[in-house]
Amino acid sequence: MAASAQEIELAQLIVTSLNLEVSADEIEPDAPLYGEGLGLDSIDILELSLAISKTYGVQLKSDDADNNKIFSSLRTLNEHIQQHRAK
Amino acid sequence: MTTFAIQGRCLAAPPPLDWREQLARMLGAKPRRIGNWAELGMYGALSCLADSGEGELPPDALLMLGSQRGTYVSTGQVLEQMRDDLPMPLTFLQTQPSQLLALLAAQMRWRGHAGFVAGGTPQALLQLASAQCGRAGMLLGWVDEMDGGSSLWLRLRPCEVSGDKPVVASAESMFSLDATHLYVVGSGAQAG
Amino acid sequence: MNPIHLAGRGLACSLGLSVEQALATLRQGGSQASQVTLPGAMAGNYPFQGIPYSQADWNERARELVQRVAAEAGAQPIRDGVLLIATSSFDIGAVERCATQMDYQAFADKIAAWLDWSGRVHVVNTACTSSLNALLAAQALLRSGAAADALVLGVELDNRLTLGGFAALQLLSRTASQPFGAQRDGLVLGEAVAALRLSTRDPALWKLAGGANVVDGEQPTGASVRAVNEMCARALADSGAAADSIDLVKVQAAGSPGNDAVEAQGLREAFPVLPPLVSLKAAMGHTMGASGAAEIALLTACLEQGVWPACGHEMDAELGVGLAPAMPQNVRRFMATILGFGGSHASVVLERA
Repeated sequence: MAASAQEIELAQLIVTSLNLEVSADEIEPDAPLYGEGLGLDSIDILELSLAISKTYGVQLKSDDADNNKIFSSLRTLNEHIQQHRAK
Repeated sequence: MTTFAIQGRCLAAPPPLDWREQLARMLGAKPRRIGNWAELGMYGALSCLADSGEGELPPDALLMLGSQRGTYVSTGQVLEQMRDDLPMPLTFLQTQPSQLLALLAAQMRWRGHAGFVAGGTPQALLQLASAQCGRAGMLLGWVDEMDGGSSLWLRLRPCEVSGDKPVVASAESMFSLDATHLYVVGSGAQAG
Repeated sequence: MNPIHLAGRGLACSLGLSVEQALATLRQGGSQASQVTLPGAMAGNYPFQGIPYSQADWNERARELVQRVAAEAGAQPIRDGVLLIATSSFDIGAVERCATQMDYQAFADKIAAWLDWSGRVHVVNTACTSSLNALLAAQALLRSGAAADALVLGVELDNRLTLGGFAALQLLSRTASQPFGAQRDGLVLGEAVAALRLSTRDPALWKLAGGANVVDGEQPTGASVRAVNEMCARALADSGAAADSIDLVKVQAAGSPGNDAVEAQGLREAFPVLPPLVSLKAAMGHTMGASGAAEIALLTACLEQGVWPACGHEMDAELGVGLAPAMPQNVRRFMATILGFGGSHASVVLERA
């Protein structure tokens, strides 16, 4: 399934804040963000969490038990943000 | 007096125009989150190690790093970010000079004694390092971002031959292509 | 080779402005952490163990604390010796207040001037392990005979950069530091100025037997099990001590969910029979680059005077380690460990002279 406008916007934030070599529209919405896939690690996730907090007003905690679900793909991350966004 | 043979060096002050491409080749990928100062340091240290002809740094060698101004650029960025919010995690990590030690250890697949000394002179750094250094010697670096950047590194091994009469050294003569040996005496470092 | 004695010590931390004051506060059960408020995305209050000493001007406060602590350590007669300043934050608190520029050498010169120091000065920054690495450097200089006296001065004073950075990395507790605790949820930062005076001339109760520092790049923000193991082995070898001759280990344990577990596992692997363990992080907070010197200053005094830090929280049974609830008898030799940022793992061994 193609990425939505919101997902592309989030993909852009990921690429910019993590200085990734890929372009935003190359990130598959359902591909994993961690490890294989986009290849992010826990420090990337911390950086991304703060960038998301600043942009959307959603606090993402590193010890949240649901993190594997939230960060499993661009799509799941976007769904979580849209449900909780404050700005 | 301890005598060190210079077994490898990188005298990049300033580094060559294509140093970032060279670094990316050495790392296998373009570094994306370690910051300019650490990139400069990685470039110099890995080039120096390659120049020494050693495949890897021995585990009992010492890794000693110094700098005049260190991570002042990223520190300025963090202070700017902190005007109304928290700093970004990666930028904060870039303010910690010892991150470069961890990055180098990971890249060289090495675990051992490493340290960062802020300010002073390369000669004073060498003097401090030589007291802590064993038979495997040291990898000594001096990295700064000012004036186009500089990354000066020496791979030093203690040796018996003392060579010619020691010459009183400055940073220039320590980091000169002419020096083959460094002499460290009680009160300071000398090059010959 | 002459033994390296711990000839003097000085301390200012959340527990008080001298070693004696800190002991007195510990005897009464410790001090209450204050709260700092951070702005923005992770906004909120965080506990902080500040030094109870007010002075509006950052530099003036630093000068008074540094002079006081150095004097307590008996630094005055050795001002032509080696001064090793250990810090991860320099005078960044003053830079934040626009009271100075970020400049390593100016910072070193400023402290040397405060102490009227005429000997060599080096500034060591290996993040949390700075003081222990300064101690190892001092040990090497004294062993080589290049100097007979050295002062290790750990300085970690109020600044937003460290607090903000640690908050951004989500390493801080919102409640309290609970080393090896079942409910541990992060560390609490603290301020400290601490001095350890080393001498091959002056006899003293304790001597520095040896130590080691191992940098491992596996985890740039934390410890690795294999490096904890290797650090212990190297520190014991450098000290000429066997694992079963260590009567006490002062651990890093600051209450971090991940790092405490790594340290516990590393210690269990390094010691066939684990010695009693003590952590000072709940009592004084994590004082970063000053922590090694601050905790050794306090712990040696605790051991001499029979004062023991209270440990009120429940231990995490899964870690397989616990903190000693009371002071172990006859501690003749102890190991003091700091693990930290930059993959740095440092440990020193002190023994009764």
